[in-house]
Amino acid sequence: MPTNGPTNEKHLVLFTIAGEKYAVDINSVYEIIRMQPVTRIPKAPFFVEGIINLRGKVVPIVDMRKRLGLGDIEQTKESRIMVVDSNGESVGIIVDAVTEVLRIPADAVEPPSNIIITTASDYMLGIAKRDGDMIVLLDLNRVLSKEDALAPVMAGKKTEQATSPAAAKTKEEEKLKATATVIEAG
Amino acid sequence: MDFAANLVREDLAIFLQETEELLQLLDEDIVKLEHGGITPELLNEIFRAAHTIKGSAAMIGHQRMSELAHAMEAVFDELRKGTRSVDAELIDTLLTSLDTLKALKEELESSRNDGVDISLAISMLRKTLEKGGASPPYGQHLQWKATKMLQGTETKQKVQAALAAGYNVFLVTAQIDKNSSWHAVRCFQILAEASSLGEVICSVPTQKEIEEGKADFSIKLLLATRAEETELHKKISAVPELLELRITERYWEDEEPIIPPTTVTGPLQKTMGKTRQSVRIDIERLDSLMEQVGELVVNRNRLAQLSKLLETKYRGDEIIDELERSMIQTGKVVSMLQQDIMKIRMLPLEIVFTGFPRMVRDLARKAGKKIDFIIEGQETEVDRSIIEHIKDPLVHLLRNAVDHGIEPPEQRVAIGKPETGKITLSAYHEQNHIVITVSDDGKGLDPASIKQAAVEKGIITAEKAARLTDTEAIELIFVPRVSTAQRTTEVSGRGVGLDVVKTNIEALRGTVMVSSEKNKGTRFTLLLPLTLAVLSALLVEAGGTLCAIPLADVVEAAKLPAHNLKTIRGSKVIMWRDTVLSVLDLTTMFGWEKPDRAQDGDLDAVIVKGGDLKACLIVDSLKGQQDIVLKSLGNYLQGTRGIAGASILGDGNITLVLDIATLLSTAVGDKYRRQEYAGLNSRHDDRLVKIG
Repeated sequence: MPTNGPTNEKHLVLFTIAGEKYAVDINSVYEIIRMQPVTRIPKAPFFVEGIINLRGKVVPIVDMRKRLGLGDIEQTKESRIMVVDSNGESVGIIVDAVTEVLRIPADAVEPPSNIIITTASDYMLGIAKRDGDMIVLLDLNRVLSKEDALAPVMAGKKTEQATSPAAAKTKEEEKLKATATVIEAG
Repeated sequence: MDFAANLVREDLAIFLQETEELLQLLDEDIVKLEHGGITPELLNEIFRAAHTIKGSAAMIGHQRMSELAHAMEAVFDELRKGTRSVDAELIDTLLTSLDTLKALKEELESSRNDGVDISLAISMLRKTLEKGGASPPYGQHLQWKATKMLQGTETKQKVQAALAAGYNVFLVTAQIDKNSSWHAVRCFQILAEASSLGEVICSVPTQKEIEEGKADFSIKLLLATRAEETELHKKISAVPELLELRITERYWEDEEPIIPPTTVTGPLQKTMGKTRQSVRIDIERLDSLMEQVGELVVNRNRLAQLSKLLETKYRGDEIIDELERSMIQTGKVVSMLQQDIMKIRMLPLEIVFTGFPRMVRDLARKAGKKIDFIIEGQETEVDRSIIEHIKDPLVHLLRNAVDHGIEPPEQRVAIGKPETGKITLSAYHEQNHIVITVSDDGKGLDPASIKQAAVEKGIITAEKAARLTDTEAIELIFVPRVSTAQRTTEVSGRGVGLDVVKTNIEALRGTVMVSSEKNKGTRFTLLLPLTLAVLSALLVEAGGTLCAIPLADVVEAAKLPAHNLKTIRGSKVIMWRDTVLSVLDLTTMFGWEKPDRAQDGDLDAVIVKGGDLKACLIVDSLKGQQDIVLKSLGNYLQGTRGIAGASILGDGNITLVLDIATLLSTAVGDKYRRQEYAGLNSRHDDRLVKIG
C-alpha cells in the first residue's frame, strides 16, 4: 500500500462491518455514496449484490459482510457504498458505516498476528492499533480479486453459505441436463 | 544503424508513414502486374513508388534501403520501356525484394538492428537484369542543368504535350532561408508538394541531386498540373523556411499554339485525383469520444423526460416553452453528433482486403495452382470494432479456397474447366447488415466424404447420416471435430478448422452460411451487423429485473395461453407453429425465486434463437423495443454465463443484456458433444426438436 507524503504516515478511511473496524488507504477510494437500488446479476459470485449505474458507468457492487463471512446484510441509514479501486477497476463495496478519515504513523501498523492466520489473514495488509482499538487494514486487490471469487473467505461457520449457491447451480444444471435428455429421447 | 546524423524524429515519422503507403501500393501493384493488368499507368505508378522510396531513403541516409529500391527501380524501368516481359519468376523476385524492403522498414520502425540482409534480393534482381539486358545508368533521364531545363528540346516537347493535353504548366522558383540547416529537405518537400498536384517535368536541382546533397538554397521546377496557380501557391507555401516563392505560367514566350487534343495521358490523370485531406486520430480517443456521446444521448433522454414533467406541472409558463424549444434543439444536435461519430468509426473493408491479393497469389504459387482473385465492394464501410475481427476468418476461408477448393490446373482441364480458377471476395450492404462472400469455382464440397468423416468421428450414427440431405451434410463442416477429422485423415481435404470461423463470426453477432455444388464451387456467406456499438433489443422483465434480448436473437414475442404448456417427463414444452419447443422460464434459469405463474390465462413469452437452438422463454412481462448501448460488466463480472453485458437506459435504469446463444446452450447442453446429432434437423426444419 502506498504511503502518503514524506512523513511516512498512512492516510486511511475507516469503516465498520458487523461492529468491527476496517480501513483502506484513502488513495484507493474514489467516492462514498449512499445506498441505492442494485440490479442483481444472475449466477454471479454469492457476495456480488449486482451492478449500479454510477453516472453512466456500470459498477459492480460487493457486499463486504458476505465477502468476509460476517453474516447477512442489515442495511441501515448509515450503510454506504464505497467506490474503490481494485486491480485498476472501480468496484463498489457495501459497508455498515463510514466513520472517519485519519492519519496514523506507518509504524503503528503491525503485520497480521501469527495467532490469527486463517484464510482471512490473506486479505489483510496489517492491523493498526489506536487507543486500544484494533483496525484491520484490508488489501482491496486481494479481497476483491476475481480469481478466488468463489472461495470462502473464512473457514468455519460461514462456509456453508459460501458454497450453497454453487451447489444450487450444479443442481440447476443437472436439472436442465435432465430436460435435455428428455428432449433427445423424445 | 545507417542514418544521416542530423535526422530528427519527426522526419523519420514522415518517412516511415510515406514508405508504408508506398510499400502497400507496390504490394498491390506487383500482384496486379502478374494478372495481366500491365498498363503504362500501372508501370509508371510502380516506378514512381520505387523511385520515391529510393530518394527518401537516401535522404535519411538509409543506404541499404536506397540501394535495394534502386535495384528494383532498374527492373521496373525495363518493364516500363517494354524491354522485358512479366513472368512468375520476375514477380517472385520483385516480391522477395519488396519483403526485404518491408523488413528494412520494420527494422527502422522498431529501432532495432536486425541486420536485415539485402544481398539475396539484390542478387536476384541483378540476375534478372543480366538475363534481360542492361539497366540504364542511374537517373540518366533526370540529368538536367538550368540552361538545359529552359532550352532543352526534350523539356519543350514535354511542356507542349502537357499543354496540348489541357494542363497548366507553371514555372516554380523558390528561395529557401539561407540560415536553414534543412535546405535539402525543404527542396525535397517543395518537389513533393508540387508532384502531389501534378507531374514535375523537370527541376533544378533534380531529385537525385537533392538526394546526393547537391541542393542549394533555391529550386526551380516545371510542373504540369490541372490545379490553379492559387492552389499550387497554397501547397508550396506550406513548406517551412521559405523566403520567396514565384509561380509563373509558361516560361518561354515562343511556344506555338497547340491544338488541344481530347485525350489525357494516363499518368498525369492518375496523379491529379490523389489529393485527399485527412487527419489521423488515436483510436483510443475515438472510443472515448464515442462513449461520451453515448452518455450524452442517455442524458439528453433524461433531460427530455424531466422537461416533459415540468411541462405538465407548469403548463403555459413562458420559461417552460423556452425550455422545450431548447430541448428540441439540443436533441437534434446530439443526434447529429452521434451519427457523425458513428460515421467516423466506420472504415472501408479495403483496410482488411489489401493484403489478400498477395496472400492468395503466394498460396496459389506454392500449391502450383492458377488462380484469378477478384475483390468486389472493398469500399463497403464497417464499424471499426468489426473490422478488427473479420480478418482472421476471411484469411481462413481464402486459404481453404486456394488449398482445397481450386483444383490443380491439369485436373481442371481434364474436366473441361478453364485452367485458371477463380476466387471472388465480395462485400456489400444489405439492410442493416454487411454481407461478405468468399466463393470459388473449384471442386466443391463432397457431402459423402463429410458424412463419412462425421460417422467415423462418432458425431452422427450411420443411419442418421444416411437420412441427411446433401445440404445438411455440407453444414456438418462447421462442427468442430468433423473438420479436424478431415485435416488429419485427408478424407476430402476440405474444411480446416471451419468451426473456428463460425465461432469468430458468431462472436460478432453474425452468421456463416455455406453452399456448394460438386465441380461447380463453394460459396461461404458471412452476415455481419453494421456496428457492435448500438443494438436494437427487446426489453423484458424477469424476477423484477429488466433484461434486454438482442433483436437478432428474437424470433417472435407472443402471449401464449398457459394451458398450451405440456409436460413431457418433467420438462415443459409447447407447440408453436407446428413445432415443439422446450419452455424455459428466465427467472428460474437465473436461479432466482420461483415465479408465481398463472395456470390459466396468458404467459408473456419470447421465442428466441441462439446458435442452432430455438426455445420459448417465459418472462414476467414484455416492455417493448429500444436501441441500447452495450456496456461490459467489467473484468470483475465478465464471464457470467448468459449475460453479454449491461446497458443504461434513458431514465438511468440498468438493464442486463442477455447472451441468448450461451443461455440456451447452457440450458440444453452442447449438442455437438453428444452421440446423437439431434440439432441438425432443427436448422432446416426450424425446430429445436422433433418429437415422435
